[in-house]
Amino acid sequence: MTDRPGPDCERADEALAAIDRGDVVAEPEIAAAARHLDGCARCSGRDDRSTRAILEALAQPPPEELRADDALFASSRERVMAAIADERVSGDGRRRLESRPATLPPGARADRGGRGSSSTSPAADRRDRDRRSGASGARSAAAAALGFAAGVALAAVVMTGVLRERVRGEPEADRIASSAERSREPADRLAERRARGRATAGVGMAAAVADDDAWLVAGGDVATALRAPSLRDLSAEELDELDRELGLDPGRG
Amino acid sequence: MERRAPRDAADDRELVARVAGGERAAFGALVERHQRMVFALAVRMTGSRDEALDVMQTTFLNAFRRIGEFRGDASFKTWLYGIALNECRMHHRRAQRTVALDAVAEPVAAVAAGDEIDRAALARLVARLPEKQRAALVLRVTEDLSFREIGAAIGSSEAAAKVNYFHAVRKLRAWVAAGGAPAAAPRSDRGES
Repeated sequence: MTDRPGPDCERADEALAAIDRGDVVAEPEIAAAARHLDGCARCSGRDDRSTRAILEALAQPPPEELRADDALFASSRERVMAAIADERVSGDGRRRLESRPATLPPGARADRGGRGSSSTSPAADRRDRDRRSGASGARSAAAAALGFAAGVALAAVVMTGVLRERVRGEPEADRIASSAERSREPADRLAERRARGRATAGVGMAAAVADDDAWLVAGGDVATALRAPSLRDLSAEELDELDRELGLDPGRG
Repeated sequence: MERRAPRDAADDRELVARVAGGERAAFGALVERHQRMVFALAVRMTGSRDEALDVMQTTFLNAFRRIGEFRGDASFKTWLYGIALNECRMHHRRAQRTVALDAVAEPVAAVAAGDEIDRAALARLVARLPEKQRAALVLRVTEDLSFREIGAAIGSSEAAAKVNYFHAVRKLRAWVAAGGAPAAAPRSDRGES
């Protein structure tokens, strides 16, 4: 502390003062200050008796009232282990999602609640009719666009769910339960949520892309979600709903 | 001061892999291995044994939930420190919400008598430091972490970790020389690089 401050000392002092004022200090200035503080005996205070006394005092164990004994650590450990007994590891969720097939085997269909999955259903008849006549026209094109949007929305919901679980640690079971609850919600709320889903799809995608790991986690679901909304896979009810959304007559072949 | 050998770090990774594989008992081994270290950090950050115990427990709970996020870029210990520091911050914010708005931090006085430093008063001064400065100081002095490790734990560059540490030391030195800290504004996130 006997040396006179040099220009680098003053520059470092300035950087520290700026930090105290809450100013933004550029990284090169931070790097320069770090280099100087590390090397300068005056600024680091390494030869200063007061600094040494402070650092020695800080290195001492905390006072008795701030210590914990073995019994306290053991009981804390037990509480932690009891708390995690019902928890899922995020790694588990990741593997579960990743182990889902990105594409289903040929001939297999995604189970979307069992609606319209029978080959004898009116929807199947209509699909056959569509296939035979190739009469998809404007509805098919719009359906593809809407289907893609719905797929993206679904993917976003899946991805934001995964992200939410990772950020908040929300248990997987809660997410599944809330999905089940949503499947029973009234039509108006469903429509509102779909609209919200479409609106936030871009945000969800951006968030997922920003977090490449989440993108990988959700990869299988994205593939499934994007593949599902093909016109051929839609049930009669879904086709009718699509018709209504497009302003067409429901049930039109 | 705990110095951990590379073998311990390798063991940590193995335990983490087992936990991620569904072996919960392996997490118990991680807790047992690191709980004293997390508590020591938390007690110096919060200045309270009860708060430190809370922080320690929530740190491990969150570590378990997020174990799949541990990639091994840093050591498990450094990763855990990062979670613990975040828990300290959350704890502090929750505590702040319960404090009356007109509550003002009292000045801290008489920290030194001759060459003797009053450790309890010094701990109160440390509590006045901005969060990252305090964390950098505690991790450096009591846990002997490198500045690179400190940077990883506090979410800063190595250079910023170094600046935070020296900034903290200089502030404490000035406060001790002045006989205490002023009745400054409450702790805030200002004053950190």
